[in-house]
Formats: sequence, structure tokens, C-alpha cells
Amino acid sequence: MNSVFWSRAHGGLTHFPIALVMGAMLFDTLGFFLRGSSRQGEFSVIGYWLIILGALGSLGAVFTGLALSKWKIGGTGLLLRHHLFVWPAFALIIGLGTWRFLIGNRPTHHGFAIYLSVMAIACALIGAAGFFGGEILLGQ
Amino acid sequence: MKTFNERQALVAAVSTSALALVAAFGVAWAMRAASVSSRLADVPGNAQAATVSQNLTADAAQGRHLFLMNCAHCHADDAHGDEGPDLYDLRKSDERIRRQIIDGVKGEMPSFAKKLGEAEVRQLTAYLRTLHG
Repeated sequence: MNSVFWSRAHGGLTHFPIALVMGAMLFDTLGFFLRGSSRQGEFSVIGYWLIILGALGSLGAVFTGLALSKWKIGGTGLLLRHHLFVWPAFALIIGLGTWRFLIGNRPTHHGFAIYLSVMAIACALIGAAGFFGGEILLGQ
Repeated sequence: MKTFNERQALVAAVSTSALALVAAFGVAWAMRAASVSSRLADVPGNAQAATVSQNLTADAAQGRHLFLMNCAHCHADDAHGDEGPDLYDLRKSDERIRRQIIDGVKGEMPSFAKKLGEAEVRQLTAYLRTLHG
């Protein structure tokens, strides 16, 4: 399969985990601050599924990205900058998804605060990775 | 399903992250090793020995920087080609090279019109002119 296929596959698959993880961040933050309200449980369930689907989606995004870059995990220039943010973001998304899957919707308030802080870092890394990924394609 | 406390879940999460990274890097390493070995078998020995000129003009030196930032992920760091073609000993006019960088090639190479200015395209062209194998 040629680079056009992988470019389209990566472009298509990579936006799902980005949107899902950022959506998880949004709903879990709402659930965190609306603690005790009737909506809190619903936000928590949405956040739970979004981060798990985001973590699963990141596997496809990483695989197609590696295939597109000819299996380079580093590279040079903009590709290197993209990868410098992608790998820590990927590790954090998988870790967050695993933690949430195992804990479910019953984390302690303190544990959930740390979880949200780490998720904010993951979202910042995703944003930076997406910026440099977009720079590679700018003008295409 | 077993019930995890937060500390146990943290250990599992860190382990799964590490495993995912090792798996991704391992697959990449294996696929790249297979791809490089199959390509080396097709490359003549004298082509592998080609070296980048060490005496670059200011334009060419800046062009090399631009090349590494924007082009190397397709044409390879040494410009001998990867996904994109080998750029050594180009038999195209400067104007043709300029047009190709600006316009791109449909379905094969992106346009850099919005990304690189005229001066940068000239610097990139100057660098490409130093590539002789």
C-alpha cells in the first residue's frame, strides 16, 4: 500500500482518539465539578467510555502513522517534533484508559483529581503533536 | 472481574503504557529492518558511498536546514530517497524544481506554496544542486 493510502488512513483514524480523549476530559471535568448533582453520574459514564474508546482508537492512529512515516519512531525536522509529542501522549492515553477501565466509575475524589491533571497534560501533548502533524501536511 | 484499588490500577496502567510503547517501537523496528534490508539489496555499492558536500554556500546551508525540516521524512535524511525519489544529480532546471516545490505533484507530493517563500525555495534549490553522487 502506498503513502497516499496511509496518509488518508492516518488522517481519518487519528482524529477519533483526539476528539474522544478531549471529550473525555470535558465530561469528566464536568462530572468532577458537579459532584453531588444528578448529572454527575451521567457525565462520569460518558467520560469512562470516551477515554476507553480513545485509548483503543489511538492504536489505529499510531499504527497508520508508523506505516506512513516508513516505520520511523523519530525522524528529522517536523516529523521528529511530531513524534516527540506523539509518544508521550500515546503512553499517557493508554495509561489513562487502562486506569479508568480498572477503576470504573468509583475513583476517590483525590485520585480523580490526579487523573484529570494527567489527562490535561495528555490533551496538551495531543494538541502539540497535532500541530506539528498539521505542519507536515500544510499546503497539501 | 477483579476489583482494583487505585494503586493497583496505577501499576497496571504504567505497565500497559510501557508495553504499548515497546510493542509500537518493536513493530516499527522490525518493519524498518525488513524494509531497509530489502532496499539495500537493490542499491549499487558506489551509490551508497556518495557523501553530502561539506562546503555549502550560505544559501545551500540554509537549504539543507529547510530540507531536513520539510522534505527528509519522504526523501530521506541523505536525500537518496525513501518514499519520495532520490534527489541526487537532478536533471531539471532551477525553474522546474521551483515549480515542483511550489505546485507539488498530485497524489504524490504536497504543494509547499503556502509554507515556503521564494527565498526559501531558492535556498532549497541551492542545496539540491550540491547533491552529487
